[in-house]
Amino acid sequence: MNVDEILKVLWDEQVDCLLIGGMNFLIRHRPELTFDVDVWVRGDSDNLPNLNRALRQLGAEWGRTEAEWAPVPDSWHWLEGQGVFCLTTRHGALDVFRDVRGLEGRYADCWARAIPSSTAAGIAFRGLADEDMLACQEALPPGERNLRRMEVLREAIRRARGQ
Amino acid sequence: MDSDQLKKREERKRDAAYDPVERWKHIQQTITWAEANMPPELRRNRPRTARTRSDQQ
Repeated sequence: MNVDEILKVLWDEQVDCLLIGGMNFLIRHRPELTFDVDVWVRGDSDNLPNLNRALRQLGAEWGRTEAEWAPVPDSWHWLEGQGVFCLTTRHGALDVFRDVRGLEGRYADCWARAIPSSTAAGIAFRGLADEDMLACQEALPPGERNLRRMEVLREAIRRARGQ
Repeated sequence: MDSDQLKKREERKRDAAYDPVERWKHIQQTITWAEANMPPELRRNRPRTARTRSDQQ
């Protein structure tokens, strides 16, 4: 997967979004097996057209059913249909979240706390803060939590607070 | 449908639609990218300073 290309197109198209999930954790903390890019987008009518343009540039495909799988349409309104979309792009798998479990309705707060960063190739992005990554894990049912990730995040938060 | 069910349904659809050759190429690219983007102290092939004989004395 060409993660840099996905992040670059999102940035170039001025998509208001945060990198979340395993890639964000990997860049900031520890290697973790993950084969998709997860982004949380501001899900309003100002931002979704930018997102749709970026998706079309990335060659994204999605379908309401397997039989309807196809390049994403010109009009951005399909993005209003549900809270999460798992897409393919020519650069790899991309998950787009309009809301994130454990952080529902708190995009603006999380954006303000997010960490501006860049990949090794110099591609800029904002990554969800450790406290918010931890809140996502804590919102999962106990059997689905990533305990190693939670332990690393708690330790990083403790260190950042100087404890 | 709750958000967990929706996510699982979305992943199933994508798995079915993903071209296996493309997917394998993307997995290989991801491993390379991940190695380059890990925190420096965790990279496998990071430069190390060779120990010289005088270091050991």
